[in-house]
Amino acid sequence: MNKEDYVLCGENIYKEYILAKNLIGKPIKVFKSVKGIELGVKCGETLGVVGESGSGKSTTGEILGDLQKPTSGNVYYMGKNISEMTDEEYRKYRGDVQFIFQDPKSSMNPKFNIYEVLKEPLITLGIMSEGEEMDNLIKDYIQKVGLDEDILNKYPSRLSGGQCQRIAIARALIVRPKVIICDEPVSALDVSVQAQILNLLRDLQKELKIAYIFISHDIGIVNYMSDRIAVMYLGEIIETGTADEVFATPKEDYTKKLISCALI
Amino acid sequence: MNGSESIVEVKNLTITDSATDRVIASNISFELKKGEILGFVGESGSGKTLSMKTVVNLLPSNLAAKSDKFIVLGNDYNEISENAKKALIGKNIGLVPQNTVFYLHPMFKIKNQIADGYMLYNKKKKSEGIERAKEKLRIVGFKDPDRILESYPWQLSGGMRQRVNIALALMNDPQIIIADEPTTALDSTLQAQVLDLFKSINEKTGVSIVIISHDLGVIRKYCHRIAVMYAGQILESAPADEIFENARHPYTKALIRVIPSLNIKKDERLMEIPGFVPEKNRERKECIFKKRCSEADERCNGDVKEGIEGLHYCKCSKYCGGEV
Amino acid sequence: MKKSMNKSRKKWNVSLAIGTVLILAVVIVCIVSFIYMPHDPIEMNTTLNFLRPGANESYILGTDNFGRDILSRIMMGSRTVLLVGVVSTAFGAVIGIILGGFAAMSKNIVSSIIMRFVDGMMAFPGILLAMMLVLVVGRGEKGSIVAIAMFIVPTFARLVYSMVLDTESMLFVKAAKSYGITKRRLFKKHYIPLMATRLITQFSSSIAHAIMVETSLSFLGLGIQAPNASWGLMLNESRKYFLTYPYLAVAPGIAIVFTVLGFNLFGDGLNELLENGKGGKR
Repeated sequence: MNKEDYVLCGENIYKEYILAKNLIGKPIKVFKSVKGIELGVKCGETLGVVGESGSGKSTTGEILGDLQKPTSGNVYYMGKNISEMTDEEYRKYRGDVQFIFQDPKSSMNPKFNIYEVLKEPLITLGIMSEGEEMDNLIKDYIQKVGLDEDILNKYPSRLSGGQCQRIAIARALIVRPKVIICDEPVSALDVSVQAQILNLLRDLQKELKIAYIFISHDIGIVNYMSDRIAVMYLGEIIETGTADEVFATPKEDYTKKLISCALI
Repeated sequence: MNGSESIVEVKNLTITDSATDRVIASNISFELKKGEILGFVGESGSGKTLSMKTVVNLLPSNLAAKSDKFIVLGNDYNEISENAKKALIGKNIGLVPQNTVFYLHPMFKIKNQIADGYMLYNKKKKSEGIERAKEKLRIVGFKDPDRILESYPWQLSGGMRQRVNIALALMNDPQIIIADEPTTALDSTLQAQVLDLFKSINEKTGVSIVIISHDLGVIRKYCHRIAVMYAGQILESAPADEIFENARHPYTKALIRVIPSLNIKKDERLMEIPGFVPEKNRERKECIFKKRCSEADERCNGDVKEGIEGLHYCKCSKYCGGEV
Repeated sequence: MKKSMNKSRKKWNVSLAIGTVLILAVVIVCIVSFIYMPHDPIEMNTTLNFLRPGANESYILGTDNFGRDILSRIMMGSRTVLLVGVVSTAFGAVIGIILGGFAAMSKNIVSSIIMRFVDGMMAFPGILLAMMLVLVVGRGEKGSIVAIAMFIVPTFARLVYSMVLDTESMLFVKAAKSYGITKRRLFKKHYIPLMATRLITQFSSSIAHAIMVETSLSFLGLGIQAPNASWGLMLNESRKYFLTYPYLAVAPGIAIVFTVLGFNLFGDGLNELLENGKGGKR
């Protein structure tokens, strides 16, 4: 695969968890979560990753976002290996690749109010310091995700799941990322709110030209959201292609099974 | 199912949080008939789980339930003592939880926990309990019940654990099974399997089943009747096909439209229900869905009207008013 | 229905109330001792020794073997108790929090060394450890403070270590890492506020513990040195005359029990209050 084509890509990624060691510290029981994955997302597109729980799709997402280190393999951002980046380059990468998690409520510190939640990334990434400019920026983004300003001094525990997920989206967007890794962003939400969030994500993509890596177990939603799709099964990518290809003519039995289950 | 005996009958159940006096569910009335599968559909916080928890007397201690009529298997809950309730529930009602992990004790083998309820309520020996457990494990589709009995819960996969939970619920030959989001924690390829199992148990043994779910699409094939709940009220209830073919309440219609499916076109926007589920003032008389409703007009002002047409109940001033 | 509800909401936090009263009492006694004491607590008056309580109007609690006023000595002793108890716990807590936090967050060989060392310290019976430390550092007030602080360190280090490991697995920590938070900021901004309630509670109980150790040390003659007053020291002095003049031991004994009880109850009550507050907020 050609690294230059992708904003963010992983090459030959393996991730193993050591479950048990023997007396001299040699691993005797190893769980292979991800087995040699090659995956990349292009500028402004959505890459859907679909698979069941335990297929390693979330681990893959976290490795691409450098929240976990792969056992072997490399992650490239803009063609550069992230483990060989200078501090300056790494900070750029850190800001350009953001996350949206499955459970929005627990992705925020319960002791922070919404203003503080949104302030944190701006400060830690050194984008700006506190002041009127920051206040205005935070208000802008609150409106962008369809919420009112008066939410800013509330605490996450007081908000509904849908509101929290909007805040999480605002937190990811506020640092102007190039890639957002969405790890099951709607599966913890109510059906009536899921559509709101998915529409919002698509609108924002159109407006801001962000690339998404959209991880989900729901093949219907992945199909709707994605330009290209990777189907994962037991730590491996068993099928890739454009969304239309994969759904119209699935090659693997497992993909066919997933599609037929979604059609109940 | 028309005309058959009803085994649970609840009228005007209201659940309040006793610390804040906030009403969580108001005026819920429903009936469960013998041999029927009843689906409760609603979003989180709609009160569907709590209403069912009152049936098994597992309401959290900070909540208080009041009802005009609460009859389970011929016993009036408002009359009988706590201990009588416990015995009644233990013998006759099986519960299948959402979370497959925490419902089984992690440190005991299945054989050491599956027969507990059976031994307690029927005063049987353990060996008899194990025999029965094997039989029930076969019903839920295990070909080698002995191996399952010798396993610890963590040695089983999510789908297997859920089937063990179902077998556990079946141990006392209950007349009612209450399944609270039985498939939500499972992968999509397993969901159909578990629901098929409920259906076949229902057909074989005639047990009444209540399935609680947030996903209308998942349960439509398996329920005889479906009740749609929203913000602590039942907005519509009808036979399953009727709900899908002839939904009246705008909320039900919207729920059907937002079912994620492969049929959505990629360039279309998803149909969304704007706004959020209300937390306060759930006991008010006017329509609870009005603020989010896309079809609300002047007819919706004032108290909400209810209507019943055959088996189809609906609570909407615009579409079902005036036929009570 | 409504009545019982209000009742349960206004339910008295008995531990907190009693604890607060007891601690306030000690603090007031301590403050008053700087302004007024009935007699000079160090002045000896051998003609008026072994006065029983109530025998002389100006010596309410009586006098000891040297004729010193017991009430004044109790008042003076409260200074030592509070000073040593609070200061040593504060020192110990700060060092413990830093050590525990550092160990939990760095996760390398250094962290194992720190935690094994802390485990080792916990393996000693507390008072023995404090005694050894006093012998190293030196007797007296400073010695006691250092010794007791060292004695408090492991408790806090372990607590913070385990709490950080608990919090670490939470999703918002992952989220914070995804926007590149530094370890120091993570600790300061995320962990400390979440741990605050537990730490405050532990702090209060640790003061009680520290006071126990302080009185034991001075009882053994390793803490505050005569003629300065300390409750433990007073107990020690009364030991020789215990059979003939038992009242000598009663006053310092009660003072110790009430103070320790006060801080313990305060800690319990605080825990209850803060935990419930957290539950009610949801």
